[in-house]
Amino acid sequence: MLSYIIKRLIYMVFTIAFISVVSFIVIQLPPGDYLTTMISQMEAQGDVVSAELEAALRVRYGLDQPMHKQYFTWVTRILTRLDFGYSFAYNQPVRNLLGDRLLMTMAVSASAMLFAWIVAFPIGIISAVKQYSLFDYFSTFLGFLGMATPSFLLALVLLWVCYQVFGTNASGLFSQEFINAPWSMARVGDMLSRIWLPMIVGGFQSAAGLIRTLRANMLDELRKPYVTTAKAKGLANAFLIIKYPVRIAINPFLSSVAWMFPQLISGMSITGIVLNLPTLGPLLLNSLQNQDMYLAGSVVLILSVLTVTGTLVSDLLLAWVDPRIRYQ
Amino acid sequence: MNKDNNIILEVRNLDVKFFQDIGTVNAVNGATFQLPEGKSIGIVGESGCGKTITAYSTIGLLPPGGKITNGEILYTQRDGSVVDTAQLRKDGKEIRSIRGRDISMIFQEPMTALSPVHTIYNQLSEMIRLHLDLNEKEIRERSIELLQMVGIPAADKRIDEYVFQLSGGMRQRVMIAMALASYPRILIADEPTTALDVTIQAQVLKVIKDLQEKLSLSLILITHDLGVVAHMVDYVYVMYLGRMVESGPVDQLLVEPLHPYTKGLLRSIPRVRGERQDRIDSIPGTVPDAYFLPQGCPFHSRCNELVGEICKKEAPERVCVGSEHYVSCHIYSGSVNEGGAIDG
Ligand SMILES: Nc1ncnc2c1ncn2[C@@H]1O[C@H](COP(=O)(O)OP(=O)(O)OP(=O)(O)O)[C@@H](O)[C@H]1O
Ligand SMILES: [Mg+2]
Repeated sequence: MLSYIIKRLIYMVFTIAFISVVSFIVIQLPPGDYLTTMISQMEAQGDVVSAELEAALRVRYGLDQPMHKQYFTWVTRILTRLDFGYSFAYNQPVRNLLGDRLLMTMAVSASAMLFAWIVAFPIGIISAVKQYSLFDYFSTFLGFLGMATPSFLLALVLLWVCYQVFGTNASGLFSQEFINAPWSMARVGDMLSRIWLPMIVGGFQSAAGLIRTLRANMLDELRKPYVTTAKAKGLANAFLIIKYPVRIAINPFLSSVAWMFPQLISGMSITGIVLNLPTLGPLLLNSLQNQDMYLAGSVVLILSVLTVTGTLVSDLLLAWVDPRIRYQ
Repeated sequence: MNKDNNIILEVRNLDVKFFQDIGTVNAVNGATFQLPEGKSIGIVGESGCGKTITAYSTIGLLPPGGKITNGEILYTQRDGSVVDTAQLRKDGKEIRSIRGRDISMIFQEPMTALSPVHTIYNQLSEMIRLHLDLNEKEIRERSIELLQMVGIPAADKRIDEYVFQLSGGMRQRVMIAMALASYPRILIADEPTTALDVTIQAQVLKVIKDLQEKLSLSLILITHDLGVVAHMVDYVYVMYLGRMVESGPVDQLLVEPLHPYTKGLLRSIPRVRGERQDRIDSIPGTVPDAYFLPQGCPFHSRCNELVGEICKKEAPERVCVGSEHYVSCHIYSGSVNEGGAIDG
């Protein structure tokens, strides 16, 4: 097991390195760079940018260097100083931009996933146990509805309802007075009182998908002979269903937690914009539009690290919950 | 009658149907048998004749869609009172206090009949904890003792393993240990060796037989192989299309089968021990569809000893043709019928 983990860790390093190179290249593929964008903006405002100034700026931002040099400087600084480079568009070190947002993204995604699980588990299990009941039909309907509704639409609808019913603007993670305030208990409380909206919007679609898969898995497991054996022992139905078929049907979900997480983060970009959330998704979109390469590169790098570690954690979790894998 | 003969379990005219969109499956059609206390009976018949469903009915384990539409299942409890388990609420408290506690069952597929993600100890101790009043230390001791009893080597180590680490034969032994954990009175073994290698089959059957005698269990052995019952049971019921077509003491029935179906079954046992292996005769034709029961005698479409038109029109009565030997076939219709034999 230990050698397996070590092997996986080594693969992981290579995968991440590869992803970072590719993303760095892809980000720079479109013609021009951040300076071209900036200069054309300045010229649109009537300023004249001399060739000397442009060249000077290019040197200052390191854009005169060949691409591989830029890449290595960037990576070395990340590894040695956790310095992710400089965001041209925001005029700030990337690290400052990422810190809070990463935390917030985690909070939103984790709560969305928690919401999805809490909703999906009982519904999926009960609709399988009571197959073809009214409850089952209702949850099937709900499931299809959830899968067919785009998250941003749900976000807009909920925002509108909030405004109509409570007269408040529910977008954003903080109220006006807390947006730029330093962290405090009150700020955390404010965030918790607002996080339910992105939690529902982000979790709804995953919940719908989970319900469908869980129901299907449960129906398979409920027919297995070990369920009959458990019944023949004289165990009570509710107990044995949770102990045996549910335990086995949720294995894949326990393990999927880790890779679902990064998926949620990138999946919630558009919702993040609609809801005006201070998360990574909108930041990534912005940086790509501006060719803000260090920022874009860093976000992609972080997402890929999350994904790759997520997959490893998934596999370890699966081995932990399923002895058949552990003993192979 | 139940008490006079010390009958611990009696099934009378049991009908079980599965109501489905495409039609009704007549899984069991008038099954009748008696299990005397401390004795062993066999229920033999081809695949699909309703053996498993009959067994499931006795302890309320019918799969979804299955309903008992007629008949009684009379179980004589430890205190001598008789309860009709067919009338008990599905998965209710009463049936659960009998199932597992008084009547235990082992199944056809040892590969899948145990949970792959729980240890043997987890699954075995659960049965003890549920039915017996023991502390954790005693539960562990009893669990190991049970595994030793069914012949599992190094039981104290293997007990913490998972079932996929065991061979098929060992798994079936674990099933037997589990079924016997609560000192049950009746053991129903549903094709316990069908899924096993021939050499292992004999070992597992021996374990069951030895324990049946040692613990004076009442045993119902279900099999499609008449060869298996010979050394295992006292009395055999031959089942066809959900009902018993012939029954008798095992030595009599095997030596002198009367029903054409029983004769067919006997002919289809491969005789390996002879000088040369005989050709295996299988019964011609296929079992009629359980959706549409045939008129008259259920076996007439495959029978090679038809008496005449009556076979296609009238279902034969069950008649007594010797000491405790019964057959339902028009060939023997002249003999004393069941009612006369029992009342007299
Ligand atoms: N869950 C079910 N739904 C519908 N029909 C069923 C179900 N289980 C069994 N049956 C039907 O009931 C009849 C009797 O089945 P049963 O399992 O009792 O046969 P069996 O004698 O045990 O056969 P085998 O030797 O294959 O185990 C068959 O026609 C079968 O198709
Ligand atoms: Mg069967």
